Amino acid sequence: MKKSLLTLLCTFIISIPAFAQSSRDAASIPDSLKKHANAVIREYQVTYNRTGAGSYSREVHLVATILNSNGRSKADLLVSYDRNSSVAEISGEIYDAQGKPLKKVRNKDIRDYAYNESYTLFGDNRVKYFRPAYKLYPYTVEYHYKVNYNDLVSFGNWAPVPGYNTSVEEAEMTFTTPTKFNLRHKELNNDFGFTQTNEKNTEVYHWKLSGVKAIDRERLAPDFMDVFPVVLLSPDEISYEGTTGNFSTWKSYGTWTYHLIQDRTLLPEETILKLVRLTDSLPDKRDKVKAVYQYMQRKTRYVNIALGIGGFQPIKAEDVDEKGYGDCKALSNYTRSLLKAIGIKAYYTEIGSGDSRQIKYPDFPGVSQTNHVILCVPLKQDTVWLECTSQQIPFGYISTNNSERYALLITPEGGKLVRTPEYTERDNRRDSHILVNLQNNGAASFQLNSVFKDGEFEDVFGVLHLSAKEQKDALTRWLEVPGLTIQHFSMQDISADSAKANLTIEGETSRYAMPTGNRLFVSTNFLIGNSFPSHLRTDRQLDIYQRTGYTYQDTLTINIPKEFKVEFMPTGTELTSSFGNYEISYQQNGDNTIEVTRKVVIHQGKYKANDVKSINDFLSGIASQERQKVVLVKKT
Amino acid sequence: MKTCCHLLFVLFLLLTVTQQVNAQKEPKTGKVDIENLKATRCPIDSNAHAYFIFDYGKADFEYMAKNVRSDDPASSRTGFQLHINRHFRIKVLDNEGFDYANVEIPLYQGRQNEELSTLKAYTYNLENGKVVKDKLSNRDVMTEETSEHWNTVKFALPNVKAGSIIEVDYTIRTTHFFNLRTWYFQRDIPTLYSDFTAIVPEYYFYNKTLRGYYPVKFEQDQRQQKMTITYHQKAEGVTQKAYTSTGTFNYTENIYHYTADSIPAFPKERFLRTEDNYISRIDFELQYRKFPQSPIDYYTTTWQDVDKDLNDNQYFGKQLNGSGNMRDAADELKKSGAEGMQMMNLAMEYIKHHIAWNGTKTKYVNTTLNKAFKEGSGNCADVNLNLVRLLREVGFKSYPVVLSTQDNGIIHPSHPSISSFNYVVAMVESAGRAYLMDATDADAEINLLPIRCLNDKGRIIGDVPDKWINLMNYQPFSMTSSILMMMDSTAMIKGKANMNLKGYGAYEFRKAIRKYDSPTDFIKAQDDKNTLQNIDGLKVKGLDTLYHNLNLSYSFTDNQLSANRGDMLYFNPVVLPYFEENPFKLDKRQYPVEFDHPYHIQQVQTYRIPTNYQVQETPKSVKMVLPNNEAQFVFQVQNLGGNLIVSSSLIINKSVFLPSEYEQLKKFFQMMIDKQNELVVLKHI
Repeated sequence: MKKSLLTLLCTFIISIPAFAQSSRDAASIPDSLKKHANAVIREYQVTYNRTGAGSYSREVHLVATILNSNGRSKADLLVSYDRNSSVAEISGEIYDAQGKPLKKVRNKDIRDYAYNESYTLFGDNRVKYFRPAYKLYPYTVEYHYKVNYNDLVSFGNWAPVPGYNTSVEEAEMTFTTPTKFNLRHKELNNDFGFTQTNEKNTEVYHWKLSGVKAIDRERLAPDFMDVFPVVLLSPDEISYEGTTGNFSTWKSYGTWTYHLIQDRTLLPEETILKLVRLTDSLPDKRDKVKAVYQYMQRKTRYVNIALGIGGFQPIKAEDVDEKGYGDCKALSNYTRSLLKAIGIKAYYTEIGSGDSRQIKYPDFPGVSQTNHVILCVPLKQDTVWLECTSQQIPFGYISTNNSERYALLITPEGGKLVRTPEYTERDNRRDSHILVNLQNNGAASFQLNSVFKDGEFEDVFGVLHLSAKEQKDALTRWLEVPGLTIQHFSMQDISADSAKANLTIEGETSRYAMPTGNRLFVSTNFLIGNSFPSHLRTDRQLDIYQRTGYTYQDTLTINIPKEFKVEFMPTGTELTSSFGNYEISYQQNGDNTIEVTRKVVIHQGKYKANDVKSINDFLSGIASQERQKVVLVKKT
Repeated sequence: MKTCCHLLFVLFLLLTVTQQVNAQKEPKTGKVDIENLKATRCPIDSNAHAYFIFDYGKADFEYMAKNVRSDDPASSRTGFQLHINRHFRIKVLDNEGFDYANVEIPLYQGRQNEELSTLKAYTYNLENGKVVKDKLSNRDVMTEETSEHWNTVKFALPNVKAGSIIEVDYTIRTTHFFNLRTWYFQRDIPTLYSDFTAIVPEYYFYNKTLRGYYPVKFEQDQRQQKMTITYHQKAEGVTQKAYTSTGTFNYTENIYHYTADSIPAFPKERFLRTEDNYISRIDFELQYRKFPQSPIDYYTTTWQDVDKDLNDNQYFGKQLNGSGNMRDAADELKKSGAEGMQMMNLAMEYIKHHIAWNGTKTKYVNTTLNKAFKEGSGNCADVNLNLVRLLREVGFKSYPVVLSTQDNGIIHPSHPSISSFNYVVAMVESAGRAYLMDATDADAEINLLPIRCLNDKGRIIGDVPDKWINLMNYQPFSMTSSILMMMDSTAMIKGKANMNLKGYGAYEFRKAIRKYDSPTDFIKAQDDKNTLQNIDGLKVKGLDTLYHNLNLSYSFTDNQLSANRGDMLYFNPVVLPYFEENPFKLDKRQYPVEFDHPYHIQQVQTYRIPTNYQVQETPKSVKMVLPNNEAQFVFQVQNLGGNLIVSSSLIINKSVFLPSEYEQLKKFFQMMIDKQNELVVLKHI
């Protein structure tokens, strides 16, 4: 479902610029910038020059020192362009540890090839690319390039720190524009010493940054935009492939998009008749929407072709109807057209999908916060949201990639920001019933019956529609069961009002309990592993983001061999923390049965880095509880 | 290596068995049979998402210079052209098979560009009992300029649904005769019938290499062909009158016809070096060309020819003539007074530090050895042929050894082919011993090649009697660790660990440690269960000194036991298990399991038990051995008055386990893992 629409905007941008020879010498890097760093950005200058409504240039100068092989990708020269832009200048040089020139990058060293995302069958993005062969660390690269753009929808964002384990010595960005063109900008996680000066009819904006230390990657890390210094940029007036627009508000941004989609809903008469026949007898509007959605799912498949304006404009509904394929824009527009044909209104809706992109800054309209399109169908009772790029996703389920965030409805009156639904810890559930028949030698046969709902459903969605053998192989790898043999299993999508899947397994394990002479040590293995970590690093630097909340509820019944009796049973426990709750209890029923019940709730939440201690107390409390064993001893 | 030879033998044996495949007549494009459309499952694999109903390939030569004009010299130069036709139908069974309806056809762009001369494609669906056909429209066919030398024709077939059949029929025209495109009988989905025909004029002689597990039927035939060439002479001046003459030449075409049916999909499996060794396919490589009244143009025929071609090649053998700019380096090294292996090592380290490998695997230098040395970087030949020059310059008998890396497949001794080699390393012969070296890898040592090179045999290009050299089994992965743990009266454990790594053990750990900020981070990352706490005083010896053991020692505390309640303590005494879980989980294996090197792992853990506890139960000692000592696991527990000693060792001596041995291997691993998970029980007294 992570298929994006605006490939044009996904274009990876290294921005960069010249000078002071000392920055070619690795020895001059302060120690503070080497800690946790695989590469150091020594100098980085980006210069924008806007010359018209639809024309500007971007010039980059970058000097980076690569400290070790993990930083190698930071030595890449990667300049992307497309049919509306051209690379005017490109050059580079490589230096050794002392800053002595080793090699000039020549044109023949720079490769030029098509550069599209793997889900794109055909696109017009290209890249000029060079990776130095040098492997003696440290070494330094210096690049200079300039790209001229003849169209404008976005300037891209400026992220001088490209990611984890990279520090920055000096970086600056200058933006020059005729005063008549407004430039919107927003600074994140740093003030960048921003200045704006005016000279005659020219506006000069300037940002700079220095001495940014490298950050180590950590689990449950916050979004990139919440950690690293970023400058968001967006034009007000745009001019793209013969269209013009104004992006100063979401409303006016939506007006531009609306013009791209408005005349694209025509369908052949035959298809309309088919739809009418399909939905006429259904009294309920929601059922009609469902019937249309499933019709679309059966008829189409996802294929992305992104050419020029095709990065923003869906192909016509009649073309999707004829060919049976399209990307997220095309399939959402097609579904909207099908619904329109039977008199149901639906909104084409732009959204940022996944963790890396979403409309996080509602006060900053522009294309760089979205990458996907879904459909919003307002009904009297509630609103139905449709993800149109999957043939198998349940009706009305938009996944945690699209939930709980802003989305932009494209209406005839322009864009309108709304929130998408939330999937809470009560929705995202995994409920398991496990029966274990333990044998003398520690082996056991077992039956598992689990139901996965909403967020937890996504864990199994990927295998739900595979063949029986593929499912069995995937289960064999996934289940945390030593010496596993699966005898029977079934996996079914049982979605109704919510996304739900059912898994049942009958199988055997060679080691459910550990035998030692006279005893059996029974671990309370719930067969499916935990998604939460058993601990976090104690020297945590970053805030902790638990993005979705969820609940596990398990009942484990263990029938023990009749030659054994219970010698020791853990007492059970209850743990409560801001991160979640945990309770487990053990009970003996009759001579031969032990019943263990467990409930785990992990809350959605954001925590400060120094909360790591209390979170670890909770996590290690669970871990040590789950290492506890029921001890059985041979009856004498 | 013995096992490898055995494996190859099996491969060839399978290939020589003739199989009863009934050649099927190629169906006409554009008309599909309704029975196939009704099918809801693949007849040979109930788990398939899509399958090839058929897959026909045909490589045919056509003489293009049919009209030669006196005023157009280019008209006589066209000569033969190769037409490669592919025609297939795929049944798409469900949504997971939709990817097969997006088709990509790569075309080489060079001095003479390859062209797509015909393309027809259809989707067939069954609607209300009738066949409905959708044709791919030309405007939906796109050509991407993928890279300097490759264009890709791409298209998505229309209206593909679960149950559709797609059909594609295209022809590529090319003048690149050297390799006919490799024909795969086996793909990642099942193929009911695969058929490849090469029709080759008598002037071209190809080396044909058939590989894979699944049998392919081969037939050879001949046919007579005529070519008619018309010569058009234009009137020139007074003497030359215009005329037209037509000549007809008869020649023979050899027809090579390969068919296979019911080929299962090729599965993805771990511990398999490359699919290429096992996937069923045919490769054609040009041996020589012989036109009437012209001398023979040799490409390759025998291994001796391969040697000669390499020796004469300006990007290989010719580069090794003379010392070039290695003389200064050699003088510098000679000053050290080193000899033998010490000198070899100096030379290897010198090259490592002066020429960085750019990641390209090839046997040919990029431009010249001198240039690569000057620039400080180059491909694998630039690095290792410079090493050969330097070794010669310091007085060794040194030769290049060409080989095929793991991802490139095994060399077939009976099928001489220059293009099967994709890599070169350096060798020294001294006192009857061979020393192999690869300077592309900072952690490689003499006779410790990077893992990518460990692939059966390489060929020595030089004046030695035995040209083939074994690349494997020089050194094992060796790890010896000892852990001493003192348990105090509250069951808190203070431990000291010491790990000693040799051979590929040291090699792989060095590589792994370098990926972390510090060795401490590496150790922490190994302990993802967080059982060891307060790792302290980590000492690493030999991280940068190759040929020496890599030694890691550190102390730690473990307080998990002390948190335990009750008067009994039970714990798993194995702190560092060999495997957390069985790498072999699946029921069956279709292809061999391949290990890169032997394993010698040994571990001794000593627990000092406090006087207020008494050992109640311990795991039983075991010894497990696979037939012929191919693998061995020994686990021993001794209780010596307050000291509990748990020692174990794992030895794997064999590198290739056949599918028939898989079940046993899987069981061996499971039993070892289970054993290492067993508990010790202590009782409070």
